[in-house]
Amino acid sequence: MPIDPSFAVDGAEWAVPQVAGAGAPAGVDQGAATGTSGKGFADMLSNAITDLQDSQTQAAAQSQALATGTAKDPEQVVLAVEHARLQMELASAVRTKVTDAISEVMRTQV
Amino acid sequence: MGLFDSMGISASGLSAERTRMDVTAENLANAQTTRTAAGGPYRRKEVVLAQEPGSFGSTLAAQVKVQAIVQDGSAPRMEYDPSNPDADAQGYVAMPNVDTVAEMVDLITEQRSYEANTTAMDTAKAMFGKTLDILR
Repeated sequence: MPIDPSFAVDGAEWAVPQVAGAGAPAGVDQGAATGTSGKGFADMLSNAITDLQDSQTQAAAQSQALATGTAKDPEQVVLAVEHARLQMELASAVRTKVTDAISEVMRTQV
Repeated sequence: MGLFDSMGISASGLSAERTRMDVTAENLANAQTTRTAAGGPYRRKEVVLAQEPGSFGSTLAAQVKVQAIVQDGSAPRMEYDPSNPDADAQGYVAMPNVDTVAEMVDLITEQRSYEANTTAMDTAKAMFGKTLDILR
């Protein structure tokens, strides 16, 4: 049964068309993805970071609007801020995982 | 369906309930208003909510939106008060068709619905947090 990290490849926030549908964790199937669309892990990462940047900017703008009294919809501000926070948490969890993997490789005895 | 769809739906529910709260507050504030720009007493207002199709078509990920704010067409309450400047020849004043008690009940409903939406949002957040914990 293929591993389906739906939270990573299915959500609009993390839409990764170049590796989606592979049924394998994003990045692991890099070879096949590179072969089919010419894009790989680096692109996915840069997409994700751009997305993260966007949501942070959005949250900051909405917070400022709330603080200056121009925000009409406080719920949307809360949503944007929570969105940014959760996305940042996800990104940092993935980052920790990746750095752990790298240090694991570095420790390998040869 | 995206990660944050459920939170977006809850946020739309919060917005809708807040609008209902605004309208109820307006009704309560104007329960004694006998003069309006349109002439006659204030008419009670009501919010019409509609389902807004989400990214998946008609049913899935559907948010709620305020479609319209309509006036209650029922007849104004006639109150006998000859000293009122707005009284007619018989001494009756047309008062707004606002039932304060009914408005208070609406207010409670709105408050509870708002709470339900915040709870749903909180739960979605907690679920996402739990998913993240797997990575750690």
